[in-house]
Amino acid sequence: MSRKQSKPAAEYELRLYVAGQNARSIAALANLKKVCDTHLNGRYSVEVIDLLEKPQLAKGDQILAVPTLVRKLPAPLKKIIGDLSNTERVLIGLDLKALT
Amino acid sequence: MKHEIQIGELTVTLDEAAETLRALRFGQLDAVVVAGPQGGDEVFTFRDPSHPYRLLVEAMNEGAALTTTDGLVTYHNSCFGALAGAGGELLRGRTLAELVAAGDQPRVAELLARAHSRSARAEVELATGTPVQLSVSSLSIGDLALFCVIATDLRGHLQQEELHRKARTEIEARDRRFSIAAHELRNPLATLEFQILLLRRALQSTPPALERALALTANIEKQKQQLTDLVGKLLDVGSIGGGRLSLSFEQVDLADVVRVSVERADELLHHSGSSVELELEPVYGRWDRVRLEQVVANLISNAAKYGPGAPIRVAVARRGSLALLSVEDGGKGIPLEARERIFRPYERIDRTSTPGLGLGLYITAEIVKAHGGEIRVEGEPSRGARFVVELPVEADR
Repeated sequence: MSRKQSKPAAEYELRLYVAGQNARSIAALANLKKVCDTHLNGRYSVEVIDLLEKPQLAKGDQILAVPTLVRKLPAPLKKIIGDLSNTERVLIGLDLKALT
Repeated sequence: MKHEIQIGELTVTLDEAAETLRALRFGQLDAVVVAGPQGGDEVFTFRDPSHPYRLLVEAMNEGAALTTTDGLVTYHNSCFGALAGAGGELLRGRTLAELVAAGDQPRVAELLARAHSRSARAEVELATGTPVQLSVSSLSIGDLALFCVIATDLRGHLQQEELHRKARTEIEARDRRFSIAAHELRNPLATLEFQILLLRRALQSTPPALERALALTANIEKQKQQLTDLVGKLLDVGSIGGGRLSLSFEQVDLADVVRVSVERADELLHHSGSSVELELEPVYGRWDRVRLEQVVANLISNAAKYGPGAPIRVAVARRGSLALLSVEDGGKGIPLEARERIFRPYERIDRTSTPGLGLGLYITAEIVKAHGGEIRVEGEPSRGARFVVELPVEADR
C-alpha cells in the first residue's frame, strides 16, 4: 500500500506508518493529503506503510508506536506520533507553519 | 562539541518518548511495535485492524467463506449465509458438502481436492436449490492452510441465458415463417405470371382469341383472390399476435352463418367433389358475423382439402347456454398427438402433400377464443376429423 506523488522533485518526503485500517487511520491519511495539497502544492510524496503487512519495516525509522508520520526530507528527520486529524499539529510537526 | 551533539540526540529521543506517551495516554495509538522472541519486530494492535475489510467482505454481492482444507466453514459473509439458507444463523462448523444438494456432494469433494494444487471452480446446486459457481483458492494464515470460497449466484445468469435462448428461438421461428409465407406467395404469383403471358399471347394473336382471353382473365381473378386470401391470413396473424383482433358484435343466427358460408364455398366444394350435409337449428347469439363466416369457411375448406370426394357434415345446435357447431369430414383423420398442435400457427399435419401456410386453424381457434368459446377435434383418429366449436350464447364478455 503506497502512494507517491513526485512531480516535480519532491521536497517533502513523508512516510505514514499504520497498522491495518480503522476509521481514524483513514481520516488521518485524508487529512494529511489535504494539508500537503494545500501547503506543499505537489512538492511532496507520501508513502503509506502498513506494519501489519510488513512489520520488518518498523526498524528502518525506529517506529515504536502507530500511527507515526515521518518526515524524511527535508532534514532533519521529524516524527509526528498519534493523531493526525488536527491540522495545526500536522503543520507544526512538519515545520510548515513558518511557510504559510 | 561532542557533548552538545549527544545532548541534541538525547533531546530528540526524549521528545519522541514524551510524544509516544502522550499519544498513548490520549488513546491515539492503534498499535505498538515490540521486539519479538526471535528478535524481529511484532506489531500489537489495540483495535481490530481488520474491521473495514470485514465490512467490505460483508458488503460484497457474492458469497465469501473461509474453510479448512476439508471444507469446514470457519467464517462467512452474510451473502454466503443467505445463499446457503442460513437464515441469519452462522454456518461455522458445517461443511461445504453439507450445504450443497446431495447429488452435488461428490463434485464438492472433487473441487476441494483440486483446490489443493491450484484455484478451482465448479457449478453446483446448493441444498437451498440455488445454482452457484464455487471458486476455491488456497491461502495460509501463518502455518494454517485454509480455502477461500467464493459463491456466485447463477440464477440471474441462467435467467439471462434462458431469455437469450428464447429470443433466438423466436427469431429463428420468425425467419422460418417468413420463408414459408414467401414460398406460399410465390406459387400463385408464378401461376399469375404465366397466365398473364398466355393472356397477352391470346390478345396478340390474329384475330385476337377473345374467348380464351376471357377464360384466362377468370383464372387470373382466381389467382388474385388466392393471393388476397393469403395476405389476409398473414395480416390476421399479425393482428392476433399484436392483440389487435377486434370484433364487432351483433345479433347473429349461427345456422344462417353456416348457410351463407357453404354457398360461398360452392366452387371449392365442386372442385374437391365433396357434398355437404347440413343439420341446422337456428341458434342466436351476439357474435361477430364476418369472423364467424371466416371460421365456418376455414373449417369447410379444411374438410374439402383433407377429405376430397367425401361428404362433409355440418351441424348447428344449442346445448344449454352454448351454441355448438360441428364440421365433420371423411378424410384421414387427425392423429391424437397432433390435436393440439394443429391450432398453433404455421403447423400442418403433413407438410408435403397439402399446400398452405398452416394458419387457417390457428386463426379459426383465435377467433373462437376471442368470442369466449372453445374449439377441439373429436372422432377416431383414422375415421375422419370432427371439429367442434362451442360458443357462449349469453354474451359473457
